[in-house]
Amino acid sequence: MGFLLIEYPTVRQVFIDDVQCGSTNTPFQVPNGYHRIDLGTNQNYAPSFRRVEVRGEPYQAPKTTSFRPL
Amino acid sequence: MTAMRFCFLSARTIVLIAAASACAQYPLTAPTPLAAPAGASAHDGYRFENFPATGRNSDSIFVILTFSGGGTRAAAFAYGVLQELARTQIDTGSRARSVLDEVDVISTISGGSFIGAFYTLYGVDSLPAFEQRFLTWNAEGRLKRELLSQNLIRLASPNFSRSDLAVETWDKRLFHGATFKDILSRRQRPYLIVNATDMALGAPFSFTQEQFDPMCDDLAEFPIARSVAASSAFPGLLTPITVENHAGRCAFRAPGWATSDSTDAHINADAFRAARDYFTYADSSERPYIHLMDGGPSDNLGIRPILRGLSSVARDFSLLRLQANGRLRRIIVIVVNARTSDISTINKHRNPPGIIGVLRAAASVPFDSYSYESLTRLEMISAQRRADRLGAECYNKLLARLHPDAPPPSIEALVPIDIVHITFEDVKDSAARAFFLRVPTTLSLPAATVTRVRDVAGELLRENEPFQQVLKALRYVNEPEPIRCLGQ
Repeated sequence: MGFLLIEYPTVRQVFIDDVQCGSTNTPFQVPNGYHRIDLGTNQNYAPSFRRVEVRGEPYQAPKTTSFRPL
Repeated sequence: MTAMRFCFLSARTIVLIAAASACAQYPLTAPTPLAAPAGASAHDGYRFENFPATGRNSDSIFVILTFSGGGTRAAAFAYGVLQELARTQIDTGSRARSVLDEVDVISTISGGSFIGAFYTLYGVDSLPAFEQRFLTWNAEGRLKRELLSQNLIRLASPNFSRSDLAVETWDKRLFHGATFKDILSRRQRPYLIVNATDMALGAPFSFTQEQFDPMCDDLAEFPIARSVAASSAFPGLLTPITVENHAGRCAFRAPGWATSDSTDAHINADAFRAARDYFTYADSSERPYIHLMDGGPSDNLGIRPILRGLSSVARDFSLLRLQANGRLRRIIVIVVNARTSDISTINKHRNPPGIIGVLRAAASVPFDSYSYESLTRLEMISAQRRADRLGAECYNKLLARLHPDAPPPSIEALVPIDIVHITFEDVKDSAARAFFLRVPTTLSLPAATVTRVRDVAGELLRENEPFQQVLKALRYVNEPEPIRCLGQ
């Protein structure tokens, strides 16, 4: 289990492995392993998705990835 | 002449039995292939997401019950816990309700499946009826009588087994033909997870739509009695229950979690195995029939679905997702463990057990080891969560001191997990404890024993320190618990 932080200029929903889970800019726990991350079907962000590997990152140093608005 | 007549009668009898048994065919499985393609039906059916928190149930206090196996003893023990939970009020200052009102999920095994399914189907008002209809009923005797009556002919059919007879018996007495659709139509919690064991994989098989998806089967049409019979099909005593696999007859699309988790065995071995097992159900040419037996060999406490929920974000029942979405404030898992101990009977004889004793031990001894390991994992997750939460709170306090103008990150997702373990081992009086630890695993117990088991469950819950601490902590459900950090 590790912590994941998705950075984006505003707060919006996060989708992990095709399911809505958590929101941007707030760390939350996900199971270790590879995950496909995106911000939903409204494709006004880039990249369209990211693939991250989580390996037990603690709350104080979460696995961090970011998206930018288009 | 007499010999010839005997031969004629025997031949006629054999023909009659063969004809009758050929007619005695229980459908291999009741589910029908999903009419809609998987994409359209991915949210339909018997899924946790279709059981919203309504009425007196809130998401913020998330209560999970797990009912172990152990025949009528387990059912009576769980029954006593349900009664006590109904009597225990939660007072958070907002609205009065019982702990039972807050139960969100019930995960059951074998004997625990009878009471779990009955309560979920009929509600709290039906509980007294369960005592008369099942606990004090000689279910085992009834099953034996059914076996020895005219059913012998039906049992000669390869498509009608002892467990099929059990399904009919449980239906007549308890479930009256109800299916999972009847639970689903209530649209209210608890969400029932009946668990069996997949004989080929040796893995837990949960009666949920997510489990049935790759087989293109609709669990809503599946009889409750049949799931309970599968969950309690103790190896050797009852035959496995068979589910027909219709994979390939719908547009099943592999869920994201299974695709992601199946990529690397070395990062998360549990998730990899679960994904690998899941994909085997999508191949009806390799696995046209799924044979299910008692849930005990793969998880005799019913904890595995909860462990899955605590270690996945994208599965249907995911506690991680609920907490990431800020819907939970506290998770309480009440493990109702009707385990007994008959180790002394094995060790009292100089000679080792015979073949029956060895087979019995082989079928039941692993139950305990696996259950112990499951419980330990659950407790470790709870302890780790507490450590994570305390660490995060102290980190945030430090951040607030260093950067008073910047709001610290939220720790809402770090929901406390409380484990309440109810077991006969905690009976204080040694003579009484010895009594309970020797109550046999059977579907027929004397009424006095049922009463004692039922009553001690309530006592154990009332005297359980973690449970009392939970009730106390619920007063803080809307405000943080006070903590002290190093150097502060």
